[in-house]
Amino acid sequence: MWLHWQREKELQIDEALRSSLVDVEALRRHAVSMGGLFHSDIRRRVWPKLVGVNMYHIKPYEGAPLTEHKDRAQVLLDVRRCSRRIPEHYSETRRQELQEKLLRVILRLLSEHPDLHYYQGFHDIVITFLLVGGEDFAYAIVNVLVQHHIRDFMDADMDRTKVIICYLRPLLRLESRTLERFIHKSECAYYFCLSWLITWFGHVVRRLDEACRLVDFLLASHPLMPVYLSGAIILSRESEVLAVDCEMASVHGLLSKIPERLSYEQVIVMAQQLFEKHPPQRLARNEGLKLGTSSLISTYKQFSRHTQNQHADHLLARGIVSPAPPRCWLDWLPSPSFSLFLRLLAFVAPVLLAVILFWIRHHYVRTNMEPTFSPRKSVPI
Amino acid sequence: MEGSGESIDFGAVDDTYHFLFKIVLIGDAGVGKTCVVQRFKHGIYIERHGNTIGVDFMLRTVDIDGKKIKLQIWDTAGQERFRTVTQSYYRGAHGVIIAYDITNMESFSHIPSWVDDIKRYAGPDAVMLLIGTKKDTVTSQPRLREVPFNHAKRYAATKHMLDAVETSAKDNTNIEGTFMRMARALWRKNEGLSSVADTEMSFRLSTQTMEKGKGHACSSCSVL
Repeated sequence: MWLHWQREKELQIDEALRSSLVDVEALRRHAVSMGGLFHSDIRRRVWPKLVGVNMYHIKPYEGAPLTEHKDRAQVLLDVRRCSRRIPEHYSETRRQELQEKLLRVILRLLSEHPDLHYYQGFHDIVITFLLVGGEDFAYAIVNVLVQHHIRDFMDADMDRTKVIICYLRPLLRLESRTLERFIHKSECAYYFCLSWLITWFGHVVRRLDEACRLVDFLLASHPLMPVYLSGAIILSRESEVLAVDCEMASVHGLLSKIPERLSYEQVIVMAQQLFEKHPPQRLARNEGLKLGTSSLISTYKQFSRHTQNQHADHLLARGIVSPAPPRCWLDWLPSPSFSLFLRLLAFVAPVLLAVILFWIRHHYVRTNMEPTFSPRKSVPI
Repeated sequence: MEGSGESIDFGAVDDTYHFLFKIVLIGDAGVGKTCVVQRFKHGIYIERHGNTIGVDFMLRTVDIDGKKIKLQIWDTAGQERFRTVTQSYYRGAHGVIIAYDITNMESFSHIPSWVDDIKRYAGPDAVMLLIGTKKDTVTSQPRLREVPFNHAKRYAATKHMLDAVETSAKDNTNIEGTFMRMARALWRKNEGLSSVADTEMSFRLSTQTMEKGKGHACSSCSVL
């Protein structure tokens, strides 16, 4: 039995989904606001729209056999150990089926993107989608995430993952200098929240509904939002942190455990406020970080535009393809992996060259033509 | 299982102790490091405990010759890519337990690279102990053994480790003994360094100094 606000919200979500061009902004607002998308039925309809996936057009896998993938052994090891994430009421057969599907989805994604590297914790992201919407659903959505939201975590090494963690320190510093100094003095590295970021909290939350609520929020937000959410969780525990011994083990021990009574709704609101108050550009400036080095940040605008023009499911089901996303003049510039300066330079350089050529030609023409056009000047009076 | 199952009483029960030792548990992914730690901390065996991401941490105080020894145990992720993260937790470690799976030769063949890491990041003085895990499996099915015990013993001796021990978290073989042995060795080593009278406080201070002194930059940016 749904509550009044849930019925209201469902109606509004339905409306946003049914308009011939889906109102993605409205869906984002509902995913973020109090209670999120609150039910699997709604999540199955809305999550694909939040990432611009057409569930009626999922490419079948045609690559090499999945049994041969180089990361298979590690993936298998983690998939076998993921029981904690499977609801308790699942029978042993159902558990095994789910684990087989999880293995297949992960290997399929890795096989289709040979430049990506598996990390322990990736399965914690995939399993949430698998539990909500099944194999194709999980594949289609995570296929977008690996190219945008979690791309940096899938490098061969963890250098860019560490850079993402680095955004946390300026955030805390700007919000509470006392807390940031305390953590710094304790010599506690921010690795206590590594698993929060790279698993979208799937590794540390206790229940599937909590994991889903956070996915609602993160799918509808900037890819750096997990950092702000981590910041909100840490800041909400400021007094607890300041009360422990100022040394690594005590601080790490306290912060690495997410309290059972934590209100996710509260930290979501707080994370949003933090994002508005201290946007990524500000954090980057404060810590001397380069936004352009991160794929998840640099591809966000492109991703966001991609989600804007989507047809409603009843049209997609009839095979009508969504219109092409509106082109932005920046799209004509080289790949977003270059810095904005280089991209602009590539655009401006030919224009400048043309101006210079025009000026030279104009100058040349004037000096040569002058005698022709002013013959009288040479006539002595 | 970082951040989920375990409860630690910070500053509540375990606050009084004579010595504090930092022990790091390392080894390949899937050898069963977390099972060993869980068995030691809670006395239970959780077959499907999930993987460790980054580092996990627990405390247990043991009694040795009437002295309360507090063990601070850091359980690390085994996947290769996390090494640059876990290495930053080696510094200041008094003891390192290196785990391999008795039924998996590959995990044993990686021990030298783990030992190199210890020398580089924990320092030459850290006490090392080699443990083989999943002994219960080879007890019931001897053909599954891939690492002969005498190989492990020999290797431990050449690297001046405390010893090599075969353990099973499942049937609780040598788990308590492993940590007690490490604790005793660290206590004796510490006793040898200074007189009992002035050690109790100074050791804790020296721990802090050690950690600061051996500071290793764990990454290019300031995660620390």
